[in-house]
Amino acid sequence: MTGRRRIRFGVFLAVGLALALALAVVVSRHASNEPDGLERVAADHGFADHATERDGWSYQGLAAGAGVVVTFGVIVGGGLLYVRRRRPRPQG
Amino acid sequence: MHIPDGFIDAPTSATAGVAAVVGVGAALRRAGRVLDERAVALAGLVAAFVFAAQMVNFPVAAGTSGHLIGGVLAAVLVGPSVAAVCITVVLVVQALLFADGGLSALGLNVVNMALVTTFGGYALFAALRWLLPKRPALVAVAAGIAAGAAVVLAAGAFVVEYAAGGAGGSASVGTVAGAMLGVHALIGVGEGVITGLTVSAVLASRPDLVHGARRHFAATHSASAGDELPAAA
Repeated sequence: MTGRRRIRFGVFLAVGLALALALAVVVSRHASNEPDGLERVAADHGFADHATERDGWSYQGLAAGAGVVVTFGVIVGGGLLYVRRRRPRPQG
Repeated sequence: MHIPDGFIDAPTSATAGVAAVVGVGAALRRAGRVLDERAVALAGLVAAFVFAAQMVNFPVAAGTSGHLIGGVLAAVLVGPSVAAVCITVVLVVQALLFADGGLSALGLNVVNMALVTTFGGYALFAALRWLLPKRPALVAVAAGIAAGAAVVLAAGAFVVEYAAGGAGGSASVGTVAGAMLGVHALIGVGEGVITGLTVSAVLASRPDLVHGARRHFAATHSASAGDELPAAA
C-alpha cells in the first residue's frame, strides 16, 4: 500500500456528490413505483387508510437534486459552525 | 420504511419523539468530540449519498418494493454517532420538504432508521468483524450482512410501536409482525448488497476513510500525511 498514490480527498468528495446527484436526478426516474414494504403491509392488513397525506416536493428532477444539496448543506453548514466555534483556526 | 402520520397513536409517537431527542442528542455530543473539517465534509457526503440512494426503490416481490435505509452503510463509514446524525438530517429533510414520513411520526422514524439501524447495526457489524478473519475486504462483507439484519431490526421496532399504539386494522399484531419481518428480510438482501458494494468501493479508493476498517488503514503511512481523519466515535 505504501507508495501507491490515493485519490485526493477533494476528488473523492466531488465524485461522491456527483454520484449522489446522478442517483437522485437520473437513476431514481427508473426506480420501482410499487409501494414499499411498510406501505404494502399496511395496505394488506387494513391500516393504510389511516395515513394522513401532506403535500410536498416530489422526488423528481430538480427537486430531488435540491434535496441532495440541502442535506449536504445542513450537515456541512452545521458541522463547520460547530468545528470552527470550538477551536481556533489551524495555522497555515 | 417511512411511517406516515396516523399509523401510530399520539402517546407512542410522543414517547418515540423523546427517545429520538435523547438518542440523537447523545449522538451529536459524541460526534462533536471527533469532528474536524474533513470529517464534516465526509459526513455531508454520506448523508447526501444516503438521501439519494433512498430514492432508488428496487422490486422485492410482486407489487412491493424496497429501498436502502443506509444506517449501517453510514455507520461503517463515519461511525455510528455521526451516522445517526446524518440519517436524522436525511429524515428531517424528507419529512419537511418532501412530505415523506409524517411529522408527528418523525420521532418513530428517527428511532427506527437513525438509531436502531446505526447503533444496533454497528454492534452487529463489530461482532461479525470480530468473528471473521482480519482481512480488510471482509469489512465490506460484515457491513453487508449487518446492514441486511439491521433492516429486519428496524422492521421489528415498527412492530413494537404498532403493538403499543397501532391504528388498528384487520390483522393481529402477530400477523403484521410476520408480514413486516418477512418483507423486510427480502429488502434486507438488497440493502446488504448495496452496502457491501459501496463499502467495497470506498475501501478500494480511500480505505482510510472507512471508520469500520480503521484498524487496518488509519494513520499507517507517510505518503499522504495529514490526509487521514482522526479516530472517530
